[in-house]
Amino acid sequence: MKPSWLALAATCRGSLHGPSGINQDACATCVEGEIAAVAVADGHGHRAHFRSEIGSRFAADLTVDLAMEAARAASDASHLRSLLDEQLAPSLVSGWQQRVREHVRLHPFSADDRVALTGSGEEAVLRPYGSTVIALVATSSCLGVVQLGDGDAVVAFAAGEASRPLPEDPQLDGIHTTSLCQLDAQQYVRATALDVRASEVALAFAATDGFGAPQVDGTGWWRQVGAELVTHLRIHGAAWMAAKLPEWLIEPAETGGDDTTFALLLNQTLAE
Amino acid sequence: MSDRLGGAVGRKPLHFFFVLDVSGSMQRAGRIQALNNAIREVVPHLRDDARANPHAQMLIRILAFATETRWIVEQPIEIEKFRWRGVDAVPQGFTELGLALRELARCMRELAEQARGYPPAIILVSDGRPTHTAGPHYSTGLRELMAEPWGRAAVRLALGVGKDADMNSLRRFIGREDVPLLRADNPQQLVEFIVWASKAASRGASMPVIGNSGISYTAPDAPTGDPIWSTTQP
Repeated sequence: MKPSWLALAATCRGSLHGPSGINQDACATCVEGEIAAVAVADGHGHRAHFRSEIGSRFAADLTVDLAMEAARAASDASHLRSLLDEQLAPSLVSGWQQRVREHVRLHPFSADDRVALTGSGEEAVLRPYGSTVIALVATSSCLGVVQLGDGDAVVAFAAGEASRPLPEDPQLDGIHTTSLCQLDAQQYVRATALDVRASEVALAFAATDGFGAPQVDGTGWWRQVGAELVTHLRIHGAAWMAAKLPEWLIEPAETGGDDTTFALLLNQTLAE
Repeated sequence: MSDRLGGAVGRKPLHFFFVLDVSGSMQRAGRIQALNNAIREVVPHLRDDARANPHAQMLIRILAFATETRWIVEQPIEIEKFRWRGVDAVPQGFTELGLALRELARCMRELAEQARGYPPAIILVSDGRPTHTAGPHYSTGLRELMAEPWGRAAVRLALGVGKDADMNSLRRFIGREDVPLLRADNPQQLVEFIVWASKAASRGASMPVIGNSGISYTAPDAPTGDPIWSTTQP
C-alpha cells in the first residue's frame, strides 16, 4: 500500500524564558497530495543571537518550501537525495541569508542592538538571527531528511525499531552547534533519503535539542521515543497523537528550560 | 505506558572540577590552609548560583595533584550535598600538572560518552612550575585534554598562588587571552579570586554561544593586604 503522510508539529516555550519570554524555536508543516514536509528550527538563546526567533521562523518556512519543491521533482530516493544535496542546501543557506539581510534593511539594528553585535561585516549581520534547522519530507516512495546544526532527526519503522539516518557531524560535540548564521553554513548541511516502501517506514520525527537534552538516557532516548510513537500510531491513531503532541513537550521544556519543538511525519496507512 | 513520551527527563548536569596543587610548596606560609578555607568559602556562592539556575544540576569533583594525582571528591556530588573536609599538602611533593590534565582528559571522554550536560567548568589552582618527574610533560597533558571535545569546550579558569606560580603555563591552560588570569598574593585574595572564578565559570558554562565571542569575563578588584606569598621566603 502506498504511504499516505500526515504532518504534525508543536512547540513549547522553555521555562528559562519565564512566562513573558519569547519562544525562539519555530516549526512549519505542509501537505500537498502525496507529499508532506515538516521542519523545526532552534533559534540560539544567547544574547548575541537577539533576533533568533525571526531567524528560526525564516529557517523553518524556507526549508519546508524547498523540501516540498525537491520532493515534487524527485523520482526516487536517490534522486531526492541529490536534489537535497545539490539544490536545497545551497538555496537554504543563500535564501535564509537573503531574508535576514532584507529584514535588517527593513528593521535596522538599534543603538542597543549594536552593543550586542558580535563579529564583523556579514557575520555580524547574520549572527543575531542564528538558528539550526531540521526538515523531513516524504512522498509515496521516499523520505528525505535535512539537518543543519544540533537536534535530532529519527526514522522509525513498522516493527518499532528506530534509526538516525544522517551521518554524524563531528562539529556537533554535544555542546556546540553549527548554524545558519555561519558564513560557511552550506558545508554543514547534511541530507539523506531512503525508500519508504522497501524499509517500511512508519514515521519520522525531528526535534530541537530542547527535547533531547534533558533526557536522562542521553544516548538511547530516541529509540524509546521512536518505538512508543509507532505503538501510539498503531493503537491510537494520528488524531490522538496530534492532540497529545503539545502535552508531550511541556515536561522537557519545563525541566530542561529550553524551547522545545517536535515535528512528525506519520505514515497513516500504518494506523488503518 | 505513561503519559510521557519517552523516558525520564532531568536537569542538565554542569560538571564542576577543582584541580588543586597540593605540592610541597603549598605547605609554605599557610597556603594550603588558605586554599582549604577558600574552597569552603566558595561553596555557599556556588549554591546560590545553582539555586538561581534550576535547570542545571551542579556537580562537584575535586582532583589534587602533587607527585601523583588523587581524587579528593571522585564521584560527582551535588553542590547542595557537598561538604569540604580539606586536603593536606604532600611534603616534598612535585607539581605533576601533566598527570592531572591527563586524568581530566579521561573524565572529559567519559562525559562525552554520557552525551548530556552543559560544558564542564574547570578551575586550576597552582603555586609552582609544572614538573614531569613521574608523569607526562605538562604540554602533553594539556594536549590530551584539548584533544577531547569536552575538554576544548570546558570553561577553563586558573589561579596562581604566590610569585612562583608559572603564569605562562596557567595562561596556556586557559587558552584565551581575554580571560583574566589572576595571582593571589595573600589568603584574602585567594578567597576572593576563587569565588570570582567559580561564579564566572558556572555562569560561562551554562551560557554557551557559537564561538568564544559571547562570554566576557571581568576580573574582580583585588582585595588589599600584604603580598605575603610574593615578598617572603619562609
